[in-house]
Amino acid sequence: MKERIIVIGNGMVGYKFCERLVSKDTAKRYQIVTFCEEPRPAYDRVHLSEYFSGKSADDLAMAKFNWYEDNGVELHVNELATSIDRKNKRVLTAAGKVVPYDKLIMATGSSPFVPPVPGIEKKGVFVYRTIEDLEAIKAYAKNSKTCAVIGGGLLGLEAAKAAQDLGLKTHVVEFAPRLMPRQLDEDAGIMLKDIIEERGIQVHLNKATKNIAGEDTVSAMEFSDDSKLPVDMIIVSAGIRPRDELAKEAGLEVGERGGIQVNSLLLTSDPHIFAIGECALYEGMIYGLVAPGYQMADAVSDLLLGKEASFEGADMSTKLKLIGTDVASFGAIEAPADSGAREIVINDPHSKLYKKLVVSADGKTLLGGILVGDASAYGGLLQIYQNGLVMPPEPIQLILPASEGSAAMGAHDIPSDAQICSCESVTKGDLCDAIDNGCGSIGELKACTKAGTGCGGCVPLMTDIFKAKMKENGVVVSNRLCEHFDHSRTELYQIIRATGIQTFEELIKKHGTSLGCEVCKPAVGSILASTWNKPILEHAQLQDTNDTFLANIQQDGTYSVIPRVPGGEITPDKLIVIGQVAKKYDLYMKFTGGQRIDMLGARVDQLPSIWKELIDAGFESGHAYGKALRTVKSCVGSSWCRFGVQDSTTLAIDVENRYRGIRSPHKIKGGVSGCARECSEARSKDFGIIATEKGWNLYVCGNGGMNPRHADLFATDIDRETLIKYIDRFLMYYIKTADKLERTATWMTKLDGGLKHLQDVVINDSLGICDELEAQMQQLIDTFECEWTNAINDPEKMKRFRSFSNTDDKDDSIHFVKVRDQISPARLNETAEETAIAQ
Amino acid sequence: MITDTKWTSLGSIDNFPLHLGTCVKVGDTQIAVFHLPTEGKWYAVQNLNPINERMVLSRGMVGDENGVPYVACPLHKHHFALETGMCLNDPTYTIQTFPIKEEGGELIIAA
Ligand SMILES: Cc1cc2nc3c(=O)[nH]c(=O)nc-3n(C[C@H](O)[C@H](O)[C@H](O)COP(=O)(O)OP(=O)(O)OC[C@H]3O[C@@H](n4cnc5c(N)ncnc54)[C@H](O)[C@@H]3O)c2cc1C
Ligand code: SF4
Ligand code: SF4
Ligand code: FES
Repeated sequence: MKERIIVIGNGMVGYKFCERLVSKDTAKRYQIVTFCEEPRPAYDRVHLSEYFSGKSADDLAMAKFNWYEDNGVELHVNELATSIDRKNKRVLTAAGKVVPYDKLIMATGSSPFVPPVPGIEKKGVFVYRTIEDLEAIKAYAKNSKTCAVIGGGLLGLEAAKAAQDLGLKTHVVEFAPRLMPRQLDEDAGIMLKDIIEERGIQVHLNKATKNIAGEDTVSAMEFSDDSKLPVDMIIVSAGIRPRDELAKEAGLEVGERGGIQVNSLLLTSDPHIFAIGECALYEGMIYGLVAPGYQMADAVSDLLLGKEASFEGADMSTKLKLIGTDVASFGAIEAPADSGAREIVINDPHSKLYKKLVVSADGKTLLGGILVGDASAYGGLLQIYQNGLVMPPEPIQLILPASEGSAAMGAHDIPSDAQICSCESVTKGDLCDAIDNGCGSIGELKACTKAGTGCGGCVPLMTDIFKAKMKENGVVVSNRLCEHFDHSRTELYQIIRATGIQTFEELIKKHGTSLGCEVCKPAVGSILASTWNKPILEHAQLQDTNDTFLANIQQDGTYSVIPRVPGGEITPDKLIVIGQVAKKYDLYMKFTGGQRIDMLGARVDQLPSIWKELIDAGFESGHAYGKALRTVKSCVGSSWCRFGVQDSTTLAIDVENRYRGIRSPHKIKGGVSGCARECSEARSKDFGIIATEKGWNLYVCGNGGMNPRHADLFATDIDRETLIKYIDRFLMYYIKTADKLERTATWMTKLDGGLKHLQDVVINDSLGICDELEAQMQQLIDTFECEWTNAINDPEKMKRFRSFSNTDDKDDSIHFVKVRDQISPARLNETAEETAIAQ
Repeated sequence: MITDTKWTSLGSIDNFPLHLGTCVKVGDTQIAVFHLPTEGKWYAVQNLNPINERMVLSRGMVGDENGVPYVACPLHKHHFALETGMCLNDPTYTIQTFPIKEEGGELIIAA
C-alpha cells in the first residue's frame, strides 16, 4: 500500500513540494493529499501585483486544476486544517474530515503582521497577501483618493506602487529611520527615498502610528509626534508572522517569536512532521523569500525518497524592481566591525545611482553589496559572492557604469558548477548542457531547465550565459535582423537599393525564409518606404497597426489623430476646425510635447471621415504613427521675442515641411531656437538648430525619452543653405546605415569614430558620397505625398477602415467615462452605470 | 460525439486581404480572421486579447516563429499561435480558435 503524505497549505512552497515529489517518486511510493485554506490552488504570490496590471487568478496559477488530478495529488481547496492528532497521526479539517498520514508536511506560510494600533479594525484597512486582499483593495480604491502604506520594506513599497497605479495619492509610513532597513544602508535608503518621492509617492520616516482616526471608516492616521495624515485607506505591510498556530496547538516546538522549529533535515520536534517555506524557523531565521522555500521543498522530497539532502540556510540576497527602479542587495551590507573589511561606494545623487561593495581586508573576497538605481551588475556580483571567486585587482571596475568599459563578471568567468538559479537549483553546467542538447532560445531554456521560472531574478545572467554559450558553439549571434533574414538592416538596405526589389514578398523569397515577423516586416517596410517613398499603405501588411491605420493605437484599441502643425504655428481658423472636429466625434484633446494637438478615442471606422474634414480644412497627416520625422519644435524667435537673433519659426516650418513624411529607422525630431536661451529645447532633438549673431549652430544626435542625451555641436555659424545641406546629408546617411529602431544618438555612438567620423562624412565628404546622399534626399522630398489624402481617395484602401468586414455594426466593446469633461477609456470592469457607450 | 457543425458565411474571400487580419462579427462574438500564404491559408481566432482584455488581435501583425504562424498583439506584442491559440510567450494564456474554410469563393466559419 502507498504511504500517505499530507501537505497542509497549498501555497508556492507546498505546491513546489508536490511537484518535486511527483516528478522524483517514479516508483509511486507515496500518495499526496493537500489542504488549502484559500479558495484556489497555489498561485504565484511573488508576482501578485500583476493581478492589478491585468493578470487573472488563472494566469497566476502555479499549475492548472487538472495537474493535480493528472498526477494523483488529492487537492482540497477552501478547506482549513484545524488540528493535528499526532498520537493517531491524523489531520482534522474544518469540513469535518479526519485523514490519517504517514508523513505530514507543514507548508502553512505566513500571514501579514498587523500591529495592534487603536482603530486598526476600521473599514478601509487592508493587508496585501492574497488575491482576495487585492480584490478588496481594488474595490475600495474606487471611492478613495489617498492611501497610506504602513511599512517601508520590500512588500510595503510594492504595495505602494500598486496603490499609486490604482490612481491613489500614496504615502509610505515607516517606523524606522530609513526604507528597507534590512536590505539597505543609510545612504542607499536616502537615495531610494529620493527616487520614490520623485515618482510621486511621499515617504514619512521615523513615524510611529499612535491611532487610526475615523468613525467606522478610516479618515486619518495619527502619529506619536502628534502629527496627522488624512487618508481614505491604509494598507498594512509591517512584516510577516509565520502561521504556526496549528503546530503550536499540536505541541510542536515553535520559536519565541513564532515559526515552527526545524533542524537541517527540516524535521520538526516530531520525526513524522516536516515544515517548509515561510512557516519554518531554521536557526532563528524565517526566510520570507521563495527561493529558500523551494530549496526546503526540494530537500524534503529527496529525504522522503531515502536520498541524502539537507537545508543549511540560504542566501537572503534580493533584486527587485521597485516603483520602476532597480534595488538589490546581497551578503553583508556594511563592513563588519573590526574585520578590516572595506567599503567601495559610488554615490551619485545626480544620476540617482548608489552602488556599494563590501570587500575583505585583502581585497580578494566579496562580502556583500548594495545596488540602487541600476542593478545590472547584480547577477555577476552574486556569482562572485556565492562562489567565493577572486575579484579583479580594482574591484570598483565591477560597479562602474557599463559605458566606461566595466570589467563586470562575464558569463565566461563563471565556473560550471556555480548555481545560477537558486529558485530551481540550476547550475551554469545544467544550462550549458541544455543548450548543447538543442535549447535554442531563452524560452526553451526556461521550459526545459525551469531556471528563471521562480522569482525571475536570474534571467539576465541566464541570458548572458545563453549568448556566450551559443557563440562558443559556433552559432553566430550576428546582427542578423531576425530568424527570417541573415542580414542586418544595413545589408538589406543595400540589397534593396542594388536590386530594385520593391516588395517584401520578393525580398523574403529571394533573401529570407518563411513568413517574416514583427521585427523584419516593419524594418523592411521602412527601408522600402525610405528608398522608394511609396505611400505606406501599399506596405500595409508590413506595418504595425499604427501604420496600417495611419494612427497610433491606444490602450483600449482606439486610435489617435494628430495633424501636422509645422513649427507649432497655427491660425485661429485652423484651431477652430480641430476643435469642431474633436467636438463632433467626441474625441479627447491634449497638446503633445511637440507643439501640436492630439485627438484621441477614434474608432477605426471613424478615422476616414475625421481625416476628410481635417484635410478639407487644409491639414495633412502628422506621421505621428510612423517611424518618420515627427515635429520641428520652435520658439517665436526674432519676429516676436526681444532676445531673438534669427527667425527661428520660419526656419522650423521650412525644415519640417522639407523632411515631413520621410521614413527612417526610428522617429526623428528637430528643434529650432531663436537664440542661445534655447527655449525650444533643440538640443534634446535628433537635429537641433540654435541661432547665433552670424547664422546658425547645428547640433546632432540628441534625444529625450528613456535615456536623455544632449545633442553634440556639429557645425557653428553656418548659413541657411549650408545648414540644410548638412541636415540632408546627415539624415540620409543615418537612414542608410543605422540599425532597425536605432535613434541617431545610439547610431552615432556605434559609428567608428563617432561624431568626428560623422563630421568628416557630412562636412568634408570623406567617403565621397555627399552628392549621392543629397540626390537621394531630394528624391524623397520630391515624391512626398500626404498619406491620409492618398488613403481617403482610394476606395480599396478605405475598405480596411471598418470595425467588421461582414457587418456595419460599430464595435460595442469600446466604452468611455468622463474625466474633467472629456472622454477617457473605461477601465476594465468599470461598472455599467459609469460607462457611456461610444456613439 | 458527432455534432453537425454550423457554418456561417463571412462573404467573399476578396474582402480578406492576404497577409492581414480582418475583424468579423458572428452573433455577438468578435473574431479575427487571417489570410496567409501558408498551406492552411485561413485562420480564425478570438479578437479579444486575453491579457489586457481589449478587442485588438485582428489588428496585429502576423508572422512566424520557427514556422509556427502567429499574430502579435498590437498593444504589447504577445505572440499567439494561429493554429492552436497558444500564447507563445506565456503558455498559461490561450485564445479560442475557430474552424474556417473557403467554399465556392466564400469564406465560412464555424462559430
Ligand atoms: C506581494 C508579495 C510579493 C512578494 N515578492 C517576492 C519576491 O519578489 N521574491 C521572493 O522571493 N518572495 C516574494 N514574496 C514572498 C513569497 O511569496 C513567499 O516567500 C512564498 O509565497 C512562501 O510560500 P509558502 O508556501 O511558504 O507560503 P504561502 O504562499 O503563504 O502559502 C501558504 C498557504 O497555506 C495556507 N494555509 C495556512 N494554514 C493552513 C491550514 N491550517 N490549512 C490549510 N491551508 C492553510 C494559506 O492559506 C496559504 O495558501 C512576496 C510575497 C508577497 C505577498
Ligand atoms: S530661444 Fe531666444 S529667441 Fe527663442 S524664445 Fe527663447 S529667448 Fe526668445
Ligand atoms: S511616457 Fe510615453 S509611453 Fe509612457 S505613458 Fe506617457 S506616452 Fe505612454
Ligand atoms: S533565482 Fe529565482 S527564478 Fe532563478
